[in-house]
Amino acid sequence: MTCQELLLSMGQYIESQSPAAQADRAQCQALMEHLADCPTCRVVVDNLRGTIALYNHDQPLALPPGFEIKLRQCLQERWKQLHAKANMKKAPNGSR
Amino acid sequence: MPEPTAQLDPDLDLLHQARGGDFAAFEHLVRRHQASVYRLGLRITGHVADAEDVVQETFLSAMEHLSDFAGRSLLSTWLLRIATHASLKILRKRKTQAQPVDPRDNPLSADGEPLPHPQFVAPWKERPEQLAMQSETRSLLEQAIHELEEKYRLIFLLRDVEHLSTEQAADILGITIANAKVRLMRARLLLRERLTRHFGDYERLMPHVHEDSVTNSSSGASKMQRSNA
Repeated sequence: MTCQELLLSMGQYIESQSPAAQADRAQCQALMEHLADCPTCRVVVDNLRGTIALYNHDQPLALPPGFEIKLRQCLQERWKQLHAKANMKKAPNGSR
Repeated sequence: MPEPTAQLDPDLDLLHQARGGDFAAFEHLVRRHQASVYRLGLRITGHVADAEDVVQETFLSAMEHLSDFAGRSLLSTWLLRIATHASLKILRKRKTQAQPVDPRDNPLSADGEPLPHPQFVAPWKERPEQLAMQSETRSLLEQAIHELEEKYRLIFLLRDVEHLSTEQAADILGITIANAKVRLMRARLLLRERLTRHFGDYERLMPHVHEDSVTNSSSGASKMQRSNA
């Protein structure tokens, strides 16, 4: 396996700390052999894992407060419109 | 990575109530997912006002199509799909000219094209957990992701930040799975390069790495050509 092949095939390997990818670890034999022999690729893999980990530490952002109120109002209005239409369909004789 | 269809969707109860006409249940769903939808919208569009439009558009669309949600994915995945499309719509509007076709995206050659070779290779001075605690890290992460080309930014956000499967991300972006994998690796390598230049230990810089030797067919020995030049 060349370094280029390693870069192409290590997608799942660098995710392999997650349980979903455990099943694929058996396919990583050639990759691990390359890594054992190539300190530069080992550091690249470690850097890549660090990169993904950093973005995973990131917390979801809070909505701007003024916008949150506007959003609620907008959704509520649309909800009323949609359900008024639905109720009219259910009760065509105007008994709503 | 398998599709999460077998997972029990934690939103199912609220979804049933909302479908039955309960606005409070729908609002609850909005509160539960608004931050991740906003984050995705902000990172794709790069503007607060656009991200707000993405949030509004996403939940309005979800409200109008609640009965169409078939449960083949998690509700959260469905919302991220809507949010991605809403964000892309904004980007398309912004663009005055069509993006040139990138030959590297040809599905036929997607697997054969070389990836960007790592240039700056050094262990990081600190662990990611320690770096994540530092205030300057967040702005660097944001800056790095916005320096990525749109197609790399999108796949990285969907796969490595929002944790969709490759199949789901490829489907949302309308690309092949092979392309999604190559784009993701490119995105990761570009971000690695950028972050390592910032976080890397310059005293432990690894030898410069060059392209693999194509003609070298010997096995066993390291196939990397290196130079200290």
